[in-house]
Amino acid sequence: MTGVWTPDEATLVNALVRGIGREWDVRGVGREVRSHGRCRTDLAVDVVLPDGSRHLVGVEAKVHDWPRAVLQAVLNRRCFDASYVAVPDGRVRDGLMDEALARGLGVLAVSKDGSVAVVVAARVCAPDEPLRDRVGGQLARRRRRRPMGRTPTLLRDPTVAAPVDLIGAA
Amino acid sequence: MKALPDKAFLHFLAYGNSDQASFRDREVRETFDVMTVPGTIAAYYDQATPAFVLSSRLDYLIDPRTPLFQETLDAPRASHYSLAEWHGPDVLAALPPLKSGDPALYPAAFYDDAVVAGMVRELVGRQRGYAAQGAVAQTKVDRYQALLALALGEIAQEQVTEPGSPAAVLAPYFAVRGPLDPWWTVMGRVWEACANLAEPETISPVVCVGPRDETEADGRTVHVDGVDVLRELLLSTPDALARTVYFWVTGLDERTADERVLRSLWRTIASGPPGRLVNLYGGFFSICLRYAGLLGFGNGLTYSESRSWPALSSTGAAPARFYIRDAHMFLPVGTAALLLEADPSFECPCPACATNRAAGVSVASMQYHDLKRHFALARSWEMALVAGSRPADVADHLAAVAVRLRAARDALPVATRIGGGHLDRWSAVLRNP
Repeated sequence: MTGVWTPDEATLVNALVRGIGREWDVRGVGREVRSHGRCRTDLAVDVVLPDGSRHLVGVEAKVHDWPRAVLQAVLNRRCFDASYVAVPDGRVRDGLMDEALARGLGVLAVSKDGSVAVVVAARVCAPDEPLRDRVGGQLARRRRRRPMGRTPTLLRDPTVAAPVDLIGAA
Repeated sequence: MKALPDKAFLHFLAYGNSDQASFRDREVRETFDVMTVPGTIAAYYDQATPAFVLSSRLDYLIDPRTPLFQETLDAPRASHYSLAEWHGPDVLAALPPLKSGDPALYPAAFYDDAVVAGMVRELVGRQRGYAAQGAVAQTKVDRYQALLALALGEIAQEQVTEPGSPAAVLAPYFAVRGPLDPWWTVMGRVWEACANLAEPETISPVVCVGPRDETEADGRTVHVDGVDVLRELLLSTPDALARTVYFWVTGLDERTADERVLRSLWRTIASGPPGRLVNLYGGFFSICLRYAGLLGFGNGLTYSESRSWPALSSTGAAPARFYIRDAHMFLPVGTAALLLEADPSFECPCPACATNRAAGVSVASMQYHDLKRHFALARSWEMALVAGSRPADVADHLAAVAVRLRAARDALPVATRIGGGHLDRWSAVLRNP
């Protein structure tokens, strides 16, 4: 596809961090955070949602290998309140959407200009407390002093059959 | 001299510095027969390790780890210097200054008769005299005894008055690639030097083998597998030494080895002297080799079912992983949690797992000690399974688990790597060894 933004993974993550920093009410961000076993999650975000609740969100960013990102995001459901896969916009594949919907994951589309769209909101997870605490403990050291923006709806309403209805909700 | 426990099949469990609590655990202690102490740890921690070993009330032996001093040892560490002392003054003198960053070079020609004689004398003497280390480290012995009593729920005993000598003494050994390998000649010198010591019948030979590539007359390259080398050399072990022979096929991984190699290993064991062979590194397939006449096998707590050479110098703490008991394999803790979620029939009923489940803890966040305890209990279950079954029954079990695993895998994310091919291969060999 011509004109599709295809960054390397580090650039994707940088754009993601800039975007959520601008658009979400972020209280802490961590990159390459130790999650389960010896694994590290690309991005961990401590966010305040529109309803005032606070959640730990894990994000796996991939440019090409979305199946691997899905696996990592599924594993992250043990460590976070919500688990996302982030891909460059224009690379949101049907397969990724199907897997995300089936497995309770969310999907973020990141654009070159740094905007972040919630393509699919994640289903709330039931993380293992020790693992969640381990992640949260790492973010505490990077806590922001004041909110930067207003977070979109990141958690999927379980009564809504088609989570994509939440696109654009804020 | 002590002897190995008089049992039909023996489980040797390797000791590591992070394993002390596990070796004091009452349930774990009941899952193995002999504690294997790496020579590096025995030599380097010259008070703490003998104190722990000698107060443990466990049968033990010390693995000399001689292949560390074979060919090239890159950037020798402090523990290597300690172990080199155990291998005699000539081996020690050949090491470069500590922290120089220079490698140590030990070609086969280095081990002439004099060097070998000195090495054998020192190494056998250190093992035979290990019990005397208890007197040197008495304060630590007392402390470890108290910890053991606490762990076992006992009243602290009086000091150990007769700390035990090893259940076996191992001869030094080197990795050999065939009867024409110069290192095989060195092994001959080693065993001859052992035979010249007092009570040579208490010194056990170790046959460590690796693969080789041969060039045929027509220019073709033929790969000779380590198991084939084992078969070539096993018949040449010395009569003057102990009847029990320990072996290590470097790089042999029971889960990835193909059927031909597994069958060859079975037939090699079966054609060897029955009840005299111990595999230093093995897993469930080695437990099944009991049917072929294997006396015992060794592993660590969640590690060391396989070991490569010359990667011996690069060991360290094993990653946290969960042993799927029914499938006889390890998975990263996160992946294991996924599998158990997809198919709860793979959950383990052992006390370690049951307690964690009751507390709402998934395998993804099990503590390292519990992962090790679970593994030890799973290993015990495996040994009981084989002891109480016929080979065909175990083959059926493996085939059935393979079907369950494939079904569970289909429900997992497509990128999940679970494996499981070993189950069908093991089943095939058990049905037709």
